[in-house]
Amino acid sequence: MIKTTSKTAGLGFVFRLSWRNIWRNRGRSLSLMTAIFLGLTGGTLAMALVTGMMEQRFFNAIEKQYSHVQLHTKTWLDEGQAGMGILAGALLLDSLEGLPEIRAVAARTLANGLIASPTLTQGVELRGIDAAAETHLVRLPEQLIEGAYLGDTAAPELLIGKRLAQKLKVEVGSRLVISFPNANQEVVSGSFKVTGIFRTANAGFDQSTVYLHQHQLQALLGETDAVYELALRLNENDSVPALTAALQAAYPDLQVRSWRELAPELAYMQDSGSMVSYIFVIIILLGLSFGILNSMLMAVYERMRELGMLKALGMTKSRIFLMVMTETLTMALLASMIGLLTGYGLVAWLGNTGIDLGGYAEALAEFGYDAVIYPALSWQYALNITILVVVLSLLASLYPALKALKLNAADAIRS
Amino acid sequence: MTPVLQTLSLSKTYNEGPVDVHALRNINLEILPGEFTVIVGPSGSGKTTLLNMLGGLDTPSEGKVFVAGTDISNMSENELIDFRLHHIGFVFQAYNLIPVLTAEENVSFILDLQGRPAGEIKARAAEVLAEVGLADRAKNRPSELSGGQQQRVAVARALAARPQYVLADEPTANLDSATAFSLLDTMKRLNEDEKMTFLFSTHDPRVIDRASRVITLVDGEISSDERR
Repeated sequence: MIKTTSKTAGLGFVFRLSWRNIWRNRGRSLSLMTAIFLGLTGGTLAMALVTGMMEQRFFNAIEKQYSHVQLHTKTWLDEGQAGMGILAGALLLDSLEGLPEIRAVAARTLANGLIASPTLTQGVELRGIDAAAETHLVRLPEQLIEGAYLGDTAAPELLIGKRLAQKLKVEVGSRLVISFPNANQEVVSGSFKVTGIFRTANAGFDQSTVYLHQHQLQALLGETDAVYELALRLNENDSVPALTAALQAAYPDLQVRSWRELAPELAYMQDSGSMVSYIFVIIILLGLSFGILNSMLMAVYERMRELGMLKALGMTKSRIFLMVMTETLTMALLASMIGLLTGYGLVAWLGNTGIDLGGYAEALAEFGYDAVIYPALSWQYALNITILVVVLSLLASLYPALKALKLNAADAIRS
Repeated sequence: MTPVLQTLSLSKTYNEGPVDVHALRNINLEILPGEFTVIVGPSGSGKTTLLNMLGGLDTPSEGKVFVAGTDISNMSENELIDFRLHHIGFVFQAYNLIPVLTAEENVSFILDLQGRPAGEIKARAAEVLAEVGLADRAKNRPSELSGGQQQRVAVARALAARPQYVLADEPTANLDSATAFSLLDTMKRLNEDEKMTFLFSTHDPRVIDRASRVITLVDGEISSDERR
């Protein structure tokens, strides 16, 4: 009578032998595992660095510059002239404040004009703000590096960026003259004292933006209560698309734009940023998978006689295949887990202390990045990388495993 | 008595370029249970090819091989692997033990692959290691054993699953005389005590002297078949 074997018989032996085989050539296995460990640690850190920089850039742009949603009149966006503000802006502000998705709203009065110091004149955007309301929106006081925030509403005060201060060669206490066309297209001007100098992570913004009390700008424009821009800060970034659409439908005469339209480069960065990082890590893993392929091929060639013996004695092809695959996968997963844990450990540590790139602060600010980078990474990355490691390891071990299957038992034993 | 092994008009031809090499021609053979048979012959006479056919490691060009009445000539590769696991024991010239396993594990993995219960595996491995005189070396790896001891482990491995016969290809070729005699005595004892059928391919006169049957191959054909 012919006896047959069940499909699960001997699996324990296959896994035990795979594990022992890993340590048969310790030097080679440890070299391969060290390469995977270093690759994954480095890849994780690099990915966390990029993610942290992107998150900070996003945070800076939303929390300190654009906010989530802005409303303007279409004519202001097209022509940018005085007299093109939002009609009944104050009433609209009140109704928006009641919406549950909205955390804070600020009404701004805007004008494009010139600012002049004794030595230089520069084109700027004048932002008339309600100093108290604005703090809920863009954290302006936190960005001051010299002087004080707008305080006395009666005093003609200005906040200017560090870049602009350097260009105009002025400091806190200096007086500057601003001039711009009013609603009647007559050039008006006023003298203001620099009360504070701010620095954001966006050098371009710092060079072209000036803050002053809203009512003072409105007075110069000759438009009491004129509102040109309504900026909304939401509780959740996820509710931006729905609210933008809803507001656009409710106010068809206005242009309602989310931060994705206000800063398309930011939207592109958020959409493609993690993909670029993944491509970087995949390149590392592809390099490592060739190392895996080479190591396993050597291991199979070294063990030809033994594999032939196992086949001759009754180890099925599927079990030999499983043995080679298990050996590869165990090494790759073990090294990857240690690499990921080390990487996440470093990310947690550096996420607390930050990586100070103070020496490159100005260059980083040109691109809107902070000088201190806090790496950050979600656990989703670990899951994705683990899946990638499994897939690439299996692919890399496929060729050696198929080689092991194709050998002729009788020939291999006598080789 | 039903033969353990039977061949009918067994032939094997290798195509090497334009020339056909006839490794075996029209072999008709019956091996009875409990026989201690050696196949002898000069190099190139077809000993190894015949052993490969009888062990299900190669398939014949013509003819049939029956193991206890079952035709294995037309089995698929996977069927043959499974058949070998359950029915045939092998002893190789170069021992071919797995260096990362202990003597006990080298013996027991065959039973493991068969899916036997853990308790039975342990007991049987201890039993066959004791039969070959290596009960005290069960936990040693092959690198900690002498050549003779390694070949004894290989014999224990071949016997572990109580196969229908054991094929041994030049099992004493790498052993000194004292070790070879000792190993052959052990195999002869197992043959007599357990009625285990052994079939050797060898040049070694020490093996031939102990055989109950000597089959001589010349140019792929049986030139003599002598029972003693």
